[in-house]
Amino acid sequence: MEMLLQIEGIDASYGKRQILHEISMNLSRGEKVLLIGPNGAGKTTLLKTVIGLLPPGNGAVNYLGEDITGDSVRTRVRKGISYLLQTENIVPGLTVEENLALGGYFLSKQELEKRKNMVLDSMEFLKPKLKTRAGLMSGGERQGLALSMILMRNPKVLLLDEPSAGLAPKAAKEIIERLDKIQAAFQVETVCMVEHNLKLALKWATKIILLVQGRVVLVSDSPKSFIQQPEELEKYFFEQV
Amino acid sequence: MTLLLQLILNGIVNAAIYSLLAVGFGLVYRSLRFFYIAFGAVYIVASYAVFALANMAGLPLLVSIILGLLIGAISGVVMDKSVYLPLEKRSASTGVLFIASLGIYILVVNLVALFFGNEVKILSMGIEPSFSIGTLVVTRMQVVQFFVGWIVVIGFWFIIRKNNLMKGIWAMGETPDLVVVLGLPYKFMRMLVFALSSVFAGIASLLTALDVGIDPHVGMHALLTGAVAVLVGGVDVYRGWIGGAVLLAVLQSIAVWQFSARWNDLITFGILIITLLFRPQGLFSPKRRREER
Repeated sequence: MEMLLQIEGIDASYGKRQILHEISMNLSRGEKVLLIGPNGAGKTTLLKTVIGLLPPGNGAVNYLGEDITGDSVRTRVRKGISYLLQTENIVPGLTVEENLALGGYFLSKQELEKRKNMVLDSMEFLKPKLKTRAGLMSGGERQGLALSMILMRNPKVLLLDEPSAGLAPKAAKEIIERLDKIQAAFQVETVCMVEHNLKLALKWATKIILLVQGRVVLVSDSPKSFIQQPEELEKYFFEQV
Repeated sequence: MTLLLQLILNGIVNAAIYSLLAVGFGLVYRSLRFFYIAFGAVYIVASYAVFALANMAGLPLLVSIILGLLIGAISGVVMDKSVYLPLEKRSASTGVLFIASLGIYILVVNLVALFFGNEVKILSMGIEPSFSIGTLVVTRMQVVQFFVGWIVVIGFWFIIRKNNLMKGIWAMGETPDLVVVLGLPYKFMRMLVFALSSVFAGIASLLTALDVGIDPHVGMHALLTGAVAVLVGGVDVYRGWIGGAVLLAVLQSIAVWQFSARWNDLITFGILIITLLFRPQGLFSPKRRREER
């Protein structure tokens, strides 16, 4: 499989507190990677380092064979990496349509319209709400909108930070089950998702990476084998408590 | 009755200037979420620049006004680049930004007083011609204030509604991380916020200074007027800023009719306190979900 994103020996810190310790991992074309670990393991920090919100102390991020470690977030987004924030991932004061337009900020008018229709075909529940203020929507609809916004720019790599956070079980199931369709419809080449809902996410993933205290402790290409025995993974979580 | 109508007419003219102040203050306060005291400093920069260019250097008034607004805009951007942005990069709290902003205000006011003196400077000489509408009287300057103020404020309203970049600026105040993550030009938008805010302050300042002159200490009053209008109308909605400004101007006029102009500050802050007590989100804020509050 062709390598899309390579993370090589990344260290990252908030002030003096080091969160990530020499993290290395690869995302290949067609992979669906599930990033798991107990709270405070560094999952969000890792995604933030990959998108460029947090500069790494050491190590490098390569995308399609090119070193993008020094690139700004904006350049990375333009190159095809998109990041779904865990919270505050829509603008509540703007309408759904305005939010989508922000997602497709640099697109031409025609391109924006085309892309918007494409997104709305996948997220049909947003169609009747285009003129609604996004802050008035339900949690599930908001996450759907947040995902739609980052799809406006034709991303090749999606980094999703707990897309089901705070959602009711039914809404959480819907959004994760929708991911495969989205990946196919929008030709997204790889998705890396942080998710705590193991039962749902293990069915979706083709690879799991387990982080504990800022270190990779397990990489497996057969996540489905853990569906029957999630305790194999969960023990790492409980050991930290 | 004629007196009341005259005062309401004056109130509507003042509302145009108050709206300019509200938009100028609101742009920074809404986008960057800190209390921008230095707005009072940028307010005086444009007028003093025009005074220096027109009255001291002898440039034509129109050229001086354009250059004065430009100098005001540059001063706002320089303040951000040299003080606020570096502080924010070090994760400074809004309290620190507030104090820094107060520091800039005091510094600028003192520098202006040092160079130009504390007394009122007159920008335009002569007696203003006036017109009668029935029993009411308006001066030429009031007509200029009314039209320039409202054209700028309403014109900007249309730009905000249509322009994607302005939507991005609006988004900065709610979800700054999202703006960055979506790849929007954050630094440019921030620069634009300070430049536009300064231009609004400059226009308001010039419209007033050309009428009654300027001294180095009027900025604080302008800042408070803009801030109260924004807080009373609602921080999160542009029409609220304007609504707050109009309400403030008209009520102040009525207060003059009933009591005296000396009680204007009482009206200003009375409205602010009542609004904050009974409708803290502002009088013109839209409906919100419980989680949003």
